[in-house]
Amino acid sequence: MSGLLYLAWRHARAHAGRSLLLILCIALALWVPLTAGVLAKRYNRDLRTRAESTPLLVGAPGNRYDLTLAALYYRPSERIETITYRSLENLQDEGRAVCIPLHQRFTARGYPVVATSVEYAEFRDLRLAAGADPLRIGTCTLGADVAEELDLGPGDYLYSDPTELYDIARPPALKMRVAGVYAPTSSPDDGAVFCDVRTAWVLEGIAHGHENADEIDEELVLTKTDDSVSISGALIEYAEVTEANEASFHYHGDTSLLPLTAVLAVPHSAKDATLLKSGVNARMPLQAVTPSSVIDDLLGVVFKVKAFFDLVGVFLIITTAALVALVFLLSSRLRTAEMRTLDRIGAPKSASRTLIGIEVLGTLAVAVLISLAATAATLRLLPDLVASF
Amino acid sequence: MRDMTFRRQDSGTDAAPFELHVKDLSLSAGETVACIGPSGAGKTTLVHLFAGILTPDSGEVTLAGQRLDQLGERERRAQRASRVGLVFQEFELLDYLSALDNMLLPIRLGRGDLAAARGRAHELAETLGVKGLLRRVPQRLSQGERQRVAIARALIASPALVLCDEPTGNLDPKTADSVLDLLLAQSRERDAALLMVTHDHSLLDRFDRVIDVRELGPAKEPTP
Repeated sequence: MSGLLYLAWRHARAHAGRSLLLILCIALALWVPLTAGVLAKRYNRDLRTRAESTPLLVGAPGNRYDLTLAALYYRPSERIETITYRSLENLQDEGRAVCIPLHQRFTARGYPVVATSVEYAEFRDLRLAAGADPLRIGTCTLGADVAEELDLGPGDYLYSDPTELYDIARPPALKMRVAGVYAPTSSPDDGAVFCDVRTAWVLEGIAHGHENADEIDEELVLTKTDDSVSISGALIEYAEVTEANEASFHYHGDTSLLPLTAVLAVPHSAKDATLLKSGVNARMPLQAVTPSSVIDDLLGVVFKVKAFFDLVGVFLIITTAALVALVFLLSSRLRTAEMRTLDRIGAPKSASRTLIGIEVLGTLAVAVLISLAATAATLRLLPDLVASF
Repeated sequence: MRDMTFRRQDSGTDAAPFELHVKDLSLSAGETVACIGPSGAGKTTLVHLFAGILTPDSGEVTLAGQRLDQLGERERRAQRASRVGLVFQEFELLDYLSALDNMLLPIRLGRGDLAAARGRAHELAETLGVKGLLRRVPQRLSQGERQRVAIARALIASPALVLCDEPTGNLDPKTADSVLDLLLAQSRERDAALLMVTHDHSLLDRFDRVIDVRELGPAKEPTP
């Protein structure tokens, strides 16, 4: 047997080009469905895990997929309507759930800015790798990937992306101080910038900070009464929240009308979840969705498409196997003289078949190993699909 | 080989079956025997019967005291690998193996000591004048060099019998002469019996004995 192994090895080496081509063809035919299958499985698992860990989402009526994908995976969507902070207060008043605000309409250097409260970090089990949670207005805490990719850490600064570069009515980019960095979680949280919901309202331009109206240049005061002051747009607002100017940040108007994109509700019990969901959907101008149901619906469609690609993969493997069989069949015919020689000089009767068998199995084994290695490398090199969903 | 009969009917033809009869043919150790006869007379068949590639329909074929005709397929192959060296007209070297690996082929396919065989291969290569060519594949060897490698392969297992089927048929006269010299010398030196099929009658004087395959059968009754 070792002699035949040696012959198979020498034959493969002597015909390295052919052997390599065969191996690569088989490896490719295996790699495509294998990688797709593993990715789909992982994708399915990650999506479901995050959805199942999120009991209830409340947002503006509209597309429930947009609401869920934005709130769970930070997928940007222009179509999400905002709800008011009062909605959150109303939900809280029902006493059936812990309600966590979510505001997600901005980005900082391309990463989604998730404005929320400190309960969110507890709920998602976000542990600090360095620094602190973004408790103060104007500060942010970075997901692990953001910190690594931007090479930022506590004490550094990160600018928000201005929404309208040429609209001077819109607030400029906010210079946010990095308060901390969360440990990796292998979830969309790794690719997000977290800040307090008040910081989002600064980004919206609803909250702002500037010099005290009593101390500014009189030329900038347009009108002044006992209870209000109208100031010229020429007054420059602060583009950074510092300890010195933090107290000057304020809102105009009713704070209960400040916008949120969603409320993440964590009911105290299953009964509370049911009552809260039905109550919201029946009585309030809001929609409450169970993320796991939404994702199940979504994946149902996705996996119908996957089944088709699985079939394509099976055909690809069958076609490749047929071609490989043909190659070996033709090769064995070309090697008739060699097999006759082996037979004549006293090789075992099964030597010819064993030799071809070893070559087929060797080729398959190397191809399988390469496809497994390529799949592992692909999975490692590909960005986290769920995170980039 | 005694009272041996071999018959073969080619399928799909109405021609009379091919028959080979051998009343008594023995080769002693170190003896060199040339086998002649016209094409189709059974020279190659005789070689294959001695090698155990073919089995007779009746009679005895004995190799070094072992009745080949009574052995099963597996044992005959094992006998062939260890006790018979074969040299063919077309050399039949494996094109993807080096000269050294071709020489070692019977050992790799059998159960011989590879390390010891490697030493023998180097000795044989030196004797046969191909020592510097051991790493070359057959395509990079001349016809004469290929046949020398084939001879080394036949002798590597120190066989009791060396069977050659027109080994000089594809060689120019000068190379054929030197290849034959080597074959005869090596067989005698190693005490191996040599049976060589040849059409080249100019070589016959150099053998201990010459047999005509047509005369191996029982004496025919004179026709009245």
